[in-house]
Amino acid sequence: MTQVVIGFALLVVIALFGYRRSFTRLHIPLGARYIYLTGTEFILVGVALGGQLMGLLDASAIRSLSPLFSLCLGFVGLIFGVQLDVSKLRRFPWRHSIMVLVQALVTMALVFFPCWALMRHVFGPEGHVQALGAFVLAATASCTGLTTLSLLSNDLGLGRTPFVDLLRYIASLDSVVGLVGLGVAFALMHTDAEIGGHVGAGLLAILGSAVMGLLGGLLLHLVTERHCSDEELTVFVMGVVFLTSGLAAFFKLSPLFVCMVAGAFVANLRGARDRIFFQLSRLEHPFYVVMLILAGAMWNVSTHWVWIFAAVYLLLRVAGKVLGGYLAVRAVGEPIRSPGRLGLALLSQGGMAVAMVINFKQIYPTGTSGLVVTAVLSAVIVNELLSPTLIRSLLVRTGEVER
Amino acid sequence: MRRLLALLLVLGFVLLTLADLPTWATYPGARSTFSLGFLLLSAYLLGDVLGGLKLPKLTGYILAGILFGPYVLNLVTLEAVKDMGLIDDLALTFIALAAGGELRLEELRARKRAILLTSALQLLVVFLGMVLVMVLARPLVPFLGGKPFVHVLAVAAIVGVFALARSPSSAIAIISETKARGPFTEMVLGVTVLMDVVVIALFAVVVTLSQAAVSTSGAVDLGLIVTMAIEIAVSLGAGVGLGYLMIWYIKHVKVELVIFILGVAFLTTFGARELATWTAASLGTTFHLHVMLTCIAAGFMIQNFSPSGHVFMEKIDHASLPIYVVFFAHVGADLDIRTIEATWLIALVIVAARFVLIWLGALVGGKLSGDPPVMNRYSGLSFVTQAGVSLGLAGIVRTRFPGWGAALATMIVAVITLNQVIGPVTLKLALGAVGETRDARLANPQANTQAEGQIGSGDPSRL
Repeated sequence: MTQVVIGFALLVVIALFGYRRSFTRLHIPLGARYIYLTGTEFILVGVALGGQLMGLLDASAIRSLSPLFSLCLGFVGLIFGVQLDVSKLRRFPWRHSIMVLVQALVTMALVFFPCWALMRHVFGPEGHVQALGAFVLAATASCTGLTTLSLLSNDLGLGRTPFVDLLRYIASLDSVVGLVGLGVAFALMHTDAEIGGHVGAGLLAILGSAVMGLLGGLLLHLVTERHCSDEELTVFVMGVVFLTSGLAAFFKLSPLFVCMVAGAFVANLRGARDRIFFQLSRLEHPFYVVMLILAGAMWNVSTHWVWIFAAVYLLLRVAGKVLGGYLAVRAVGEPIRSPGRLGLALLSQGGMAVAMVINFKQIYPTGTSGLVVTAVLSAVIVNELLSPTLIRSLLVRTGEVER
Repeated sequence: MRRLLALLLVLGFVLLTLADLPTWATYPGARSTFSLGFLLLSAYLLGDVLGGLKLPKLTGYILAGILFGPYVLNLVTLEAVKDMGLIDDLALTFIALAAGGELRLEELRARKRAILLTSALQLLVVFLGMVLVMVLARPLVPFLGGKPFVHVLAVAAIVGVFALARSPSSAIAIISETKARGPFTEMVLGVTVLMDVVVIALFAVVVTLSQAAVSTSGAVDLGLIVTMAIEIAVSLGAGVGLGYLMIWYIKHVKVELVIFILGVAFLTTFGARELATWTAASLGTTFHLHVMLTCIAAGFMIQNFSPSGHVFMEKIDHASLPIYVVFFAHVGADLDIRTIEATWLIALVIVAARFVLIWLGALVGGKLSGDPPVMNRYSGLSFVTQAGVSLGLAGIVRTRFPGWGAALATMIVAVITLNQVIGPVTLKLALGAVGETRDARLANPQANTQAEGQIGSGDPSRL
């Protein structure tokens, strides 16, 4: 109990002061600054607080904080979904959406199959959870973080150029592909059957997942459509997030996916969507920091072999992004210099990938989930270190910035 | 209509978890999460419906908790209610900070006479009156059958103390909901908080004497009185320290005050729990830090001994709604209404007698302090609510009197349950009748000013 409380209090304090510092522009060298500005260092703070070092956020403490996990996941899903306003997305050329899809699917495929095979043969079969774990790896691989790109383009004074807009568009939307895949995979798996074992039940669960999200969105729309005060809006948003994410987790579905559907539903109806987005965005950074710390705390390395697996995952993701980017450019004939390097600008992985692994680890706390957590978190850190330099080199090559 | 539809939708969500879906795997760890969301939404929506009927929204929150809680529909299970205990404690400290912040020294000084007289008269009338009622009504109390008169007197005295107990949390929530302000509101809050301290002290004295009276040796063990006196002093002292810490934060750090307040509330709750555990393990006696008193004192310090009172209250107001909804819905879910079924007749007698005695005490107190007749008529309605502290003390009765303590505690919980539902309604009615709610002020802006002009003149003939 003591550990839970001290751990939670530390989480709040660090989140509070941490985000104030971390998301403020600091004048330190480029390489170190980007990992700091994106808040990625909070994963390491979580590791320090976790069971392997200080022990304040050990396994039992993390279990006790289950509602906080669901709240964080639901929050991330909802705020992501609320931004999926179709009328705004239509302003971009349709071929950009094709590029998003091709790039993400190729990356996912390139990560899923080798990782699944590796997990089965090296770490021993662990049933359907292993397949789901491999799929989570694939889904996280598809995600691209937008923060690094935004910070860099601000630093370089790029403003809005067509190429930077394309990168932003892909980075904003490729997580949708991964998240939809994750939602479907959780639905297929939740019957405790092997993939394809109970196709009917699986399809029903996919439908249930979507309907749950739609009903959550409808609920939020119904209660906020008429004028309500800011305080009431807080009650409704928190209530819907707790209810929908809790219900999704109860049925072993993905709170991230279900809440994304709820958010997307609200985003495409006239109502209080802008106020809801504003309300959510005010809390976004503290929630993000809490989530990174929780992820770090649940990072538990049981054997050194997982580092090799993590390295393989990292390389497969780089390969997937490069190949996916290349094929995406070729598929739509986008006039880009160095299409083979497009994927290198999309390496930053961002918070959504972290949320996905938390989702998996929370509902399936097995050896496989430990492996997945290690692979993804280490990849997130390495990618955040590498991506500013790679994005900059691509921008130089494409002539967006001078050498 | 839309919100009613939303309420049905929320219900549908939770019914889904109770449906028989054999092929669907479940993760029970998530139950408390969606229960929290369900309570938050359903309680607020039900409160909104009752608000439309001019009843307090707070009553809707409590009713939602009772209705959907483990003892009626069981949509929120007992396990989920227990899991939410920490959130409940957290909310209570936050509400206590708000209650302290509402106490303005300047206005309390102006209303000192009314507060002290009303408190003293209630102490006399309610305590002595309730002892008499219990002595007369003893045939209705099954566990007193065949007991010597001294036992009857002990039970009557304990019930008398409980009749004095109020609920600062309900009072502050209703004041916040109705945006009430003015001399009557200040007096109500002042008396409610003062009685909270009096009840804890008097409880220690009465329980000690009762234990001596019912024991075979007749020896008086002063341990409980000393412990409770120390507890009250330490609780208030800790509140002063906490208040200064928060004043420092508001002055020097400034950022994210709401999160800071929540953090303080959390750590205070935790500190109190740890202190109780540590003292039980190392000193052999459990020392309770009365978190409610500590936080009221801290809020009082910020409001009256720093220039940051308005900033503090503004932030508290901003964050209070979800906290009130969750807290009172949880209070409702935690109320075991089966206790009413078991003791309904004597519970009704106590509730009715207490209501009359409180009204009488407040009427005489108000008359002696020279308050306007309208205030005196309605003042008694403001002190009916009961909650937190009373429930805690009922637990002590259960353990201190092994023979009939459990039965007495059950009876007391039944009374508290009824008062918790009735009290907010009567308090809202009183605040509206004296013209201090926002709606009343808007409807009749002159009335309040006139009433303020009549206050404290010391002329009892206005009754």
